[in-house]
Amino acid sequence: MLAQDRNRQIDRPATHRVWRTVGFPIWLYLSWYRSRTIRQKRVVWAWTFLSVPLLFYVVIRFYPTADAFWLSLHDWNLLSDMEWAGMSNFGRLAADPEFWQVFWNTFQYLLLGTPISLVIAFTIAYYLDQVRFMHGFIRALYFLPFLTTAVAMAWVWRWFYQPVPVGVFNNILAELGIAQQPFLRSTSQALPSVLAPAIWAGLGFQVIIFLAGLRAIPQSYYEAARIDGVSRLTILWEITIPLLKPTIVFLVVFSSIGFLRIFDHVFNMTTNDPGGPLNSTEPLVLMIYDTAFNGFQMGYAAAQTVVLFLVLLVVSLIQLRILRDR
Amino acid sequence: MADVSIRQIYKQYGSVEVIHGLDLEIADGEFVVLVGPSGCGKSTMLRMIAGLEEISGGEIAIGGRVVNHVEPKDRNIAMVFQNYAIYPHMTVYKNIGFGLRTSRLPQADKDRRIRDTAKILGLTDLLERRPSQLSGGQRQRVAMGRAMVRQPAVFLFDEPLSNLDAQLRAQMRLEIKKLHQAMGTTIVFVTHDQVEAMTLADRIVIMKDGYIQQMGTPTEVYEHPATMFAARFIGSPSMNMLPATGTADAAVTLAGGARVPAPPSVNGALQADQALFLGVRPDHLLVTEPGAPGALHLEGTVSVIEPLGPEALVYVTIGDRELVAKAPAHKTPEVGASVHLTAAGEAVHLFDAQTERALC
Repeated sequence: MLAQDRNRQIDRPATHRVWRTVGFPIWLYLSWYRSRTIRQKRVVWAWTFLSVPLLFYVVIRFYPTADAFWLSLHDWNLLSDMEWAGMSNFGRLAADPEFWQVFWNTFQYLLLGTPISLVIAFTIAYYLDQVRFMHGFIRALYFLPFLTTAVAMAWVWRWFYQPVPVGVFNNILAELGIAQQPFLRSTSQALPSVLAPAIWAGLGFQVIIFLAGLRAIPQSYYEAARIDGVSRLTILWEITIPLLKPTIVFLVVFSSIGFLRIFDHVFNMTTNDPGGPLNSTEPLVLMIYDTAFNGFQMGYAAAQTVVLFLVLLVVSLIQLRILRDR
Repeated sequence: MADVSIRQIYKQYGSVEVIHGLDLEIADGEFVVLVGPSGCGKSTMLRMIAGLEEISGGEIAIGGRVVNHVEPKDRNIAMVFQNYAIYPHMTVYKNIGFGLRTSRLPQADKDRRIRDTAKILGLTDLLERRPSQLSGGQRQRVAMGRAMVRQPAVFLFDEPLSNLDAQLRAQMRLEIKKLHQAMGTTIVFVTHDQVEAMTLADRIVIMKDGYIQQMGTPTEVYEHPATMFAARFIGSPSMNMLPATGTADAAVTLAGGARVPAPPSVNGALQADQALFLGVRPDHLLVTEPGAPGALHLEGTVSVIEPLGPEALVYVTIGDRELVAKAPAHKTPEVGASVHLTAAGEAVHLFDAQTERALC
């Protein structure tokens, strides 16, 4: 009896401490939560779940992005202290002829890649939509390159571009009696040669998205047009394509960003001389990689990423503005 | 303007036959409504007339010309779809004008026709709007305008009112009827709504499972249903059906033992011990005092009352069956009360239990 009483007296401050530090805040929160309206409770739960990815993005994405902007105003080689450089990295960039070559290359990837890939993908999707026989198999065939790693694909395509007797393309040209082409060895042909597998790799995804867009157009639109007797071309231009506009906007922006950020295809197809020959295939991302991890000029590389960021932003905004429904 | 002849028409999807050799003659200027439950083949019929579906057998002629292999655009028809099929990226003017794209009219004539059509449909002020800026009823009108602007010989309507709310549906129904009266064009109209069929049609074609159950004017199909299906499908609430047996002296006995003299129209067709169904519409089955004049007398217990304003629907349980009767609003019985139901002799319909066809 006596011992129990004593124990209770000793325990009381300890339980009180637990109550004060853990129990009381929980009790306070619960009583606050209970007095909220249904709408407010929903907001509390939404933010509870949103906080995890939000925290993740702030730490993993937003902070490094902001840091890159900061870094672009400094000189840093990873080991030394960061030195304030002001806008000098950007000035150096503007005066660098290699940068302008790379800048133009990047836009060539964009200006050739986006329209060509979209036209090919739309054509495939348009006809595939009308085919029932082996529809799934053909679709899977087009989607397969999208699942393949860029490294493996780039190496296979490198082999395609070899001279006779190894390269497939040159063998075909030889069979047809056409002169051998240098492909990756030529400063004028290398960029399109690198672009081709990049387009091919993204085609499956674009075809799938186009197919989904085509499927979403009600059949009765086409039937009404059939009764009105308009030509297939009119139906394509005046019904199908305008109704696919949301799909087209999405794919234009999405694939433009993809082509502006092209890296792995270029890097793997020109490993002996990345971005070569004579920088003729070098895109901005490859230049950033080279400056940062071969040159260890982190500030200069950060300045290049800032430029890439601005290019992506401006291109996307212009596209959205032009393509937006007026 | 033109008549439409459908002769022994068949439709198969693979090995499944969905339309089984139908014949239908639609006169010039007639308003024909194809009505039936989902999957009865009414839309397929319409789409075959339009040329959107190939026909597997038989013949369709529009204005005396067989059109089996004629493209939809050359059939001189126009169609209004259930979802309107008006293009969201075009203005009302362009949508209506789309039907004239291939016509060889001079531009000024096209413009005049579009504006005339818009005027008839009350769309003049909306010509520059996009479909997204229109109400359901206005979209419906644009869809009709697109069909009308082509001045076709035959209008085909595929459940055009299904997407509208009840009030708008009644209003558009009236407008379609007025338009038909004003223009006099042949119309084939598909619906699953028997009220639409009754109110719009010159002639109703009731379909089920790819067969025509009955053809006739709204009054004919209401008053003289040819089959049990037609009897139940037309009229709301549905016709009450009671099992009955024929007697040797031109009468039937109900399951409970009550004796009902057969209506004069079935004279001769009725056989002794024939298994039958006796049908009576709720409109004709009235809650009355015992001893009221009539051929059919029933006793039962009220289970539910549905007031409709001027009158009330009275659900009456008789044995294991529930019948629907009517009572004037001021004389509605209580739930649970025993009531007497009476129907006049001419309101009684008899159907053979095996063939489900009316005796006549």
